Amino acid sequence: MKFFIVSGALFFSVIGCSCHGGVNHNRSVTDNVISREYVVVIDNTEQDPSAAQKEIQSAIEDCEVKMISKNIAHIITDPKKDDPGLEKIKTELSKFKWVKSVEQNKEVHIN
Amino acid sequence: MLNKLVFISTLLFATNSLFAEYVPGEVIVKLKSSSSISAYANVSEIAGSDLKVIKIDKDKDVMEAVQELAQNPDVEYAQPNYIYHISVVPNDPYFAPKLWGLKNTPQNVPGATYANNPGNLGDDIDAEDAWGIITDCSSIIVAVIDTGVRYTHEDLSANMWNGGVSYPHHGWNYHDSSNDPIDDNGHGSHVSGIIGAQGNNSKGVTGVCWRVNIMALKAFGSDGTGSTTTIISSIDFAINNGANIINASFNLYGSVDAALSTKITDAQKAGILIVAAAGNGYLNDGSAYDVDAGTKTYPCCYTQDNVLCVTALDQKFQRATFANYGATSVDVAAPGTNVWSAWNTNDSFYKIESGTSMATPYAVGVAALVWANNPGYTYLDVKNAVMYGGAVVTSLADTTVSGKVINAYNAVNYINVPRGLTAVVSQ
Amino acid sequence: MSKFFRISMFLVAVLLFSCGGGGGSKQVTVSWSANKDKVVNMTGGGYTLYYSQQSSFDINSASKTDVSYVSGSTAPISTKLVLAGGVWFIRIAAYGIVNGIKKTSDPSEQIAVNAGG
Repeated sequence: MKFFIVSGALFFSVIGCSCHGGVNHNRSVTDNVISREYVVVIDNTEQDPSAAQKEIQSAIEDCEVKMISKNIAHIITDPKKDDPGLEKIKTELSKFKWVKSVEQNKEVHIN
Repeated sequence: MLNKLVFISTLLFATNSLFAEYVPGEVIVKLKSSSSISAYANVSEIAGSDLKVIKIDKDKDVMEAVQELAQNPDVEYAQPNYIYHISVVPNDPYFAPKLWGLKNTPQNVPGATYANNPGNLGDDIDAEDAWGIITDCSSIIVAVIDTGVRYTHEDLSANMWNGGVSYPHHGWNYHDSSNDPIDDNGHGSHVSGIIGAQGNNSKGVTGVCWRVNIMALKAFGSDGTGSTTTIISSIDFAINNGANIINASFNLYGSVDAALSTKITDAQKAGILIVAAAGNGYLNDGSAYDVDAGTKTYPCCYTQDNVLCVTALDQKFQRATFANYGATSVDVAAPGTNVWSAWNTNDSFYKIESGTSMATPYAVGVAALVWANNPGYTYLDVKNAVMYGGAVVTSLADTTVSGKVINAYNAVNYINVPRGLTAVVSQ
Repeated sequence: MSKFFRISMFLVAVLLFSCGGGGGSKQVTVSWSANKDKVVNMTGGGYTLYYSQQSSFDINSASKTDVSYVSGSTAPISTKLVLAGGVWFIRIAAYGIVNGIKKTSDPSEQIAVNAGG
């Protein structure tokens, strides 16, 4: 059991690095929506950002959560697992009063 | 003032200039020989000439008085007492032949890919006249959220934000999560050059600001694509590192993005002005549309008052066929076709581009000049000066909020309408 | 009528007529936020108040008062007007010397104040 936990952690840390350490090569875009990536606005006066990061991480299985600013979290779900989808993530996070919005990450273009 | 070529330039007459200025209450006349002006009481000589200055009622329209006096049989000609001021011309070799947006002579811009080249004399942002007041925006930090900046370029290197040891490459790269926002596309360098390519350095082009601090925030890849998260991170960096203005030459199409809107509001609270492009059609398809009636585009369509949205005009001050518009969302217009600026190919490479991406940094440059000239301004004062200090363009009346094209000279001289008026009976 | 009574009645009448109401003038304190324009907050700068009893008035035909910069970091941001009774409409503009001549901003939207009467 410990072997699986440790190797799972190692595996996920690699995925986490590629997910939040640069371009997500597992990314696909449909109608400017980037799959498997979600953006959460929190009220950082009601919840400390690092506590928020931990709580979101616990609430959503198989994902990496990074605070990209004091009030915004970026979630990337594990490409090896089923993506829960926007509605499920919204439902899971609705128990936190300090979560203000949940959306998908979107593609933007220079012009 | 070293190396500056200073010309006393005649203000253009009203037919050529949108801002012919003259002294109110005065008309200059030349009399026919042995005539005299008897109807006007207040007449004075102009030393060293046979011209006379007639004082008229301050509330009387000067041009009306000119026309009346011109009809007088004693008068050979009449004209307003025009105001002259110093124009300043930089020595950058591409200024005169290529940079019509700063001064439209009307030059035939080499390498042009968009029509109406050459354009109309005087259809420009009056940069030379503004430079007679101020050229140096080095008190202002402009964050360029784009494909990065070629910060070693000969015309940009002196104007990059000093990020100290923490940010040795003048910003950050959120696309690739590194400390190096070097431009791998060219777009970000081009935009930066319009804002603040070093002026009067005998090289290449000049920006609207001859000196400025450009903060390079790379949120887009070499293919010109980024995401709301890379942009949000970039805005956060700008807030945390003292940027005054953000150049946002990009578009997100569709419904309101709450997270990006939250970050725009954070920037508003930090006192930052965000200047955004109206877009080149839908997803750059080049077919302009009304963003108020059709698919919204952001940040342009956000309603926070720290957002200034810009559309593009060509060399004849007609809205470019690719340039989106909207009477509620699109605030003002700026030059956006056949624009030469720096590019990322090498340190002395320049390229011509067209787009609302190019119009946006012209407005940013004017905003920076305004703010450098009025350091006590808020972002709202700056926005008002850029918008309402513009020049009326009739065709923009129903397609933009202000109905105007930016004008650097008038924006720098703009006086804001006072706010917060109250009256209380005290006794 | 005794002399004392006549004098008293006279004094009462003076008091009644001088104690407000009935169309007497009122002092109105007008205030605004400080402009940040450099030229407004230096010699030659300041604000102009326009006031009229006509709503949506033309500033060229209104009464006006200048509130000029005197010294310090900003021009004054309030003044007192003495206005006859009734409703008054007030607008404000800022001015400064630009390129050697006085330049004035567009006027603000009007506000209304009831000076009684």
